[in-house]
Amino acid sequence: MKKQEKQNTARRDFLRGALAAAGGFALAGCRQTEDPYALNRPAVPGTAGYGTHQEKWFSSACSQCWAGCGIRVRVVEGRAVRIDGNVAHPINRGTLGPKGQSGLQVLYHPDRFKGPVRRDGPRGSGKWTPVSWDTAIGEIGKTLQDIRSRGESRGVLLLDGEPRGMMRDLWSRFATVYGTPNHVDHRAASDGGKLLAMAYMHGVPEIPAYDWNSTGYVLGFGASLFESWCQSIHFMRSSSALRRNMPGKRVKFVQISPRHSTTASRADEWVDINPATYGALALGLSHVIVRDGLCDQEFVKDHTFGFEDWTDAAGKKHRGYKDLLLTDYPPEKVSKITGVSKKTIERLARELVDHRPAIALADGGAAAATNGLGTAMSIHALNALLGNIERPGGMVVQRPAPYAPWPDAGPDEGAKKGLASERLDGSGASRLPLAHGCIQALPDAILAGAPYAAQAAFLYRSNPAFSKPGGKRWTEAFQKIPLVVSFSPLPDESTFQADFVLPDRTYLERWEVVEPVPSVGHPIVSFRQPVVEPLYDTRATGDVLIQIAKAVGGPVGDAFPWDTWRKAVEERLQSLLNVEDSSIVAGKLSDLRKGMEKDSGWWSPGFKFEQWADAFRTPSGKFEFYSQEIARKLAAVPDLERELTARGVVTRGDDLCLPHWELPRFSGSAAEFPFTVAAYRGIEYAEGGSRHVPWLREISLPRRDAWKQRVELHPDDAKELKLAAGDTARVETPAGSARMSVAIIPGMRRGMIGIPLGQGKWPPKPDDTDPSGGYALLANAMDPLAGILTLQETRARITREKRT
Amino acid sequence: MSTSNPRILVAAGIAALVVLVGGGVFAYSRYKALPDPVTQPVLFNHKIHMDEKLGLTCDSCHKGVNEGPHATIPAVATCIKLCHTDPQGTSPEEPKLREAAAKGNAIPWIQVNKLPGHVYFSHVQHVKFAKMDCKECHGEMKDRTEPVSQTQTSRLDMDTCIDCHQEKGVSTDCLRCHK
Amino acid sequence: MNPTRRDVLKTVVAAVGAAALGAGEALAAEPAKKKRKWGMTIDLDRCTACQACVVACKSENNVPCAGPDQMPLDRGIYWMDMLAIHEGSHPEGRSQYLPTPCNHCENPPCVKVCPVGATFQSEEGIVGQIWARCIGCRYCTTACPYSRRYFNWSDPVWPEEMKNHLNPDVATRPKGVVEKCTFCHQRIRAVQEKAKVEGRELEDGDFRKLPACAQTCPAEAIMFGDMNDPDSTVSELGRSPRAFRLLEDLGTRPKVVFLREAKWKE
Repeated sequence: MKKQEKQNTARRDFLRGALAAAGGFALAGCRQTEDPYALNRPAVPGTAGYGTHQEKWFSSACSQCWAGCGIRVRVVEGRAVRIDGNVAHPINRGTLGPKGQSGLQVLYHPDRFKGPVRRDGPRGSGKWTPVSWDTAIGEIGKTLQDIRSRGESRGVLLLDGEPRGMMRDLWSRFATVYGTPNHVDHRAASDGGKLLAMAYMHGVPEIPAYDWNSTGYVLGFGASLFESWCQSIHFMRSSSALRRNMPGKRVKFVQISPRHSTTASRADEWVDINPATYGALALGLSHVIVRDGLCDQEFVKDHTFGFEDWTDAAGKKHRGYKDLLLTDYPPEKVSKITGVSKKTIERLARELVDHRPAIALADGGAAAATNGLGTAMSIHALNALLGNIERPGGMVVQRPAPYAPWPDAGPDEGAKKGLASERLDGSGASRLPLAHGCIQALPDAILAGAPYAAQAAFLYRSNPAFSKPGGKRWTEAFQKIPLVVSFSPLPDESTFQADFVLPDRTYLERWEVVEPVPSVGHPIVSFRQPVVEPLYDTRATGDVLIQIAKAVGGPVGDAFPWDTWRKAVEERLQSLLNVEDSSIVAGKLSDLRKGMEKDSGWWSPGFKFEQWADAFRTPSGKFEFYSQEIARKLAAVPDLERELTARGVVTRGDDLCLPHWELPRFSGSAAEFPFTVAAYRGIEYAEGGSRHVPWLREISLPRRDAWKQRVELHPDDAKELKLAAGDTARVETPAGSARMSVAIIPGMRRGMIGIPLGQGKWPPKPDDTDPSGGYALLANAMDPLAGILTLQETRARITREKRT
Repeated sequence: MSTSNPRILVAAGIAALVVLVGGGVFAYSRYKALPDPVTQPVLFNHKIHMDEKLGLTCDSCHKGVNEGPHATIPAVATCIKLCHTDPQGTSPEEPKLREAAAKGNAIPWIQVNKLPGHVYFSHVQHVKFAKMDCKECHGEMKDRTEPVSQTQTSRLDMDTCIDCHQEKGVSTDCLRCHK
Repeated sequence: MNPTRRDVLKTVVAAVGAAALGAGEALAAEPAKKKRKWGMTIDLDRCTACQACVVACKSENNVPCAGPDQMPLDRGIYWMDMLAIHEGSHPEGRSQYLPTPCNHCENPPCVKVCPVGATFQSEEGIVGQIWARCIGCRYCTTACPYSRRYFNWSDPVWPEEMKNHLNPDVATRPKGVVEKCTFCHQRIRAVQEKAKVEGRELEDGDFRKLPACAQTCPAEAIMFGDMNDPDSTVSELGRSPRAFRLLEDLGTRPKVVFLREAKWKE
């Protein structure tokens, strides 16, 4: 009976305990109100809608992932009570995913910072005192000015979680005029492989788009299309149509992955594969296609470079892709590497050819490996062999929104010096010649103070101490940086290290124009507007960055002439006026805005295929099996042979510039750590985690473990370890250890454990010894040349812990 | 047969007691059910607005009665735009209207006719379609010179709803009115 | 650990689901202009198990979160739930996912056992629940063969700020009360009232995506409508050879129809 009572109060306590913020943002406990059936709040006092039963719907754009879905928000007397998809928007057409549905709990999260604060106590203490915006911006501006006048501008790090769009452009502009090469995004740890494959094979540094609706076959290499794929909602709509909207025809979707994921279970066929061997399978499939003369000869001849052996201008002979495939990747060999039977390899290759146009695609996670770049290139090259690039039903290059850039603000002499420096994360330099960024390399560089010392760090939509390997290394590194500024609306692991927190507005409170993740190829921008009055004394980071630039003054301030972020955005929107074949053909900015306020965005729907100049911006103007850009970058590395040997790269010569495969390199010995970790992002995953959103927490499966960090095991493995569902186990890897709840998943392969990323306790506590999120268990290993973080090559052991 | 059978007397006594106590509790609960009168932020005068000179009707302002569940109160801006751009009299209450409008705020009226949180009531169904007169529930508003401080309808309870629904042959499906 | 009711249901669902393939009986196509009979179809060939429906339902219907202490006790409330069904184990193992709202049976066992008349079938076939009348005896949760009814073990709780997102159209339920899916009847009522005001007849398109789960579904797997209208989307889909209903042999006559092909075919 007593136990019962305790349980009855537990639901009350969770929200007090789990959602009450660290740092003294205590919640008022909820008492039963007079009317138990109406916990409804009165209207927001002071708003125009108060007491009038006024109900309004606002169109805006979601920001719970980067997909950029259009939304409609129902606002009753000043309170946002419902988010639904906007039927007008081409990405989601009125539908919305679970993350989008949860936005209200982000807006009304009790732990949000109520205004700007300054650290009050040692780094990481989580103690803050309020500070005025003017003081905070003034002090930050002054410090940045000093750093710049000392000639150390390169030591300023801009950690920017926004992968594209105007906000990224604004940070980029700041980096340029201020003079730091260290504008670092998160992509090396997310879709880095896909991005680099595009950059080197197409000359387009943007992930691909796909003409889903006309495709005939989809082959996913670990692509979590129904989970954390960057355009999951769009793909779900398409897959549904591909399966059921064509009478008598059903397009097949085959998923290849070592973990039997939700996507794998919803696919038409699941192909089991050894971890980190996707690249080998792609090369094996390509071998069969080329061997049997089934590739699109015309496309390969007219639009690709490096298929046949060739001789360069200097008369040097080079190996072609065809020779690499036919010599090195026969199905027998590939079958041994991947564990996929020779018969299946032959059949899948045939199916790809027979069902053209087919799409072969990788996930960021699939190419997240020490052999990541080669893997991503091998998978992507299948599309070229099949001639499914820039053609209906195939892969297409995303056309960017046609807005003009801001007037050029060139760096001054001081800034030029800073910009010419090597990046602190080593990308682009001889340490990581093929990388476009390598955020996970930062802690070591900061702690070593080499090649130079970090002076300041800005965290925008970025919580690397939680969402990148190395947890504690990050907090130690931040402690070495004299000034850390966070723009996070919520307290998190990295923000605990900040000197100032300048809380951003949530996406339901700010005005913005965003560029969605590539979807179908034609230009789309999504439009965001405040649906409620800002709840607290917060400012949109766009505005704050402009104000900081002005506080730095000089040429930096001059480059930001706008009073507000909105004016800066509207300046560029001018170029969307009078665009023929667009969703809103407006002559005036106000008309354009009105249209976007209704449709949640602007787009130019007509897509023209076979625009080769758009698709291939390589030196050859063609799809490059042999990437001349890789060749150029490697040629610039002094003593490449020594570097390759030192880094354990086995491949040599032309093969480094072609799609190829290297043996995966697992961290930890199989004897000491018998399990392979399959770290994955579920549907509820959002960058930085979704652990603070109760609705998303509670869609975890199995439900019983929803609020725990869980480790997934095969039933027989669990039996051997004497573990039952719900037991607490300690998971140890060479990188760290954590307590986790055991979930028994019959689909898990033996010797593999599944660890969903982004879970963990909320609120985070500064002194927490048990790391959250799963990343702390992952080895900080990467593609040795391209800097892509591996998510697949960590080994682990599990032991049972006593029940608490 | 004797009328002084003690058993009958005791039974009658108990019955009387039950009726008395029960009635008392019932009456008390009814008495308690009436909330204390509230003081509204503006001393709005319905009579002035509804007399022959202006001739406004209930639905001139409470437009929602013909449109949806809520009767609705017009936004302050509407009052200003239609009539109160300039002072319309000498009432000290009128400037409050313009003050609120200048700040973009609404007047924080206190709701007095409250239904339990699990009940759905639709004005449009009753006013527009059932053609009920507003005063059946809200009393004779056009004679009031002060704002409503207490509910004017005697019984906002399920008995009243059901009786009327049955009498008029309207559906008594639970989901019509429960939410 | 003993199998819970949920586990048992999963097994049964897996077995019956497979057996019922292709055996889905066409829904009774009765003459039009009858009273409406609300029903839902869920196409498992479209469903991607994303659970947008689960969150949309929680948001629309003010369903409270259970929290870390109550979740391990299986006390989470999901008017729309996602059942994960695992068959066999790796490498032969397969998983299936089943979105499960209340089936709104035409012959509902839960209604028969309610001692106080708190649960009932509405004129339009919705199995409703009057929160204020429920005494929390939980006979109905036991009687429901699908485990689609939930008991509130404690008062619903939201942090003060999060109370702002509560939907004013749906009452919250206190401790000691059983709650369940209502097919978003508040939305049905609103759309019917609006059409009446506008003097317009309602069409199938007005209902197809009316409930919150159907509206948000990215794969458009969930459809809603009038099963008494032979031309409605749900009636049409209900006649599909892919149609089946859960535990049909119990005679509960569910108004939620699932659709599934046995296998991908060329």
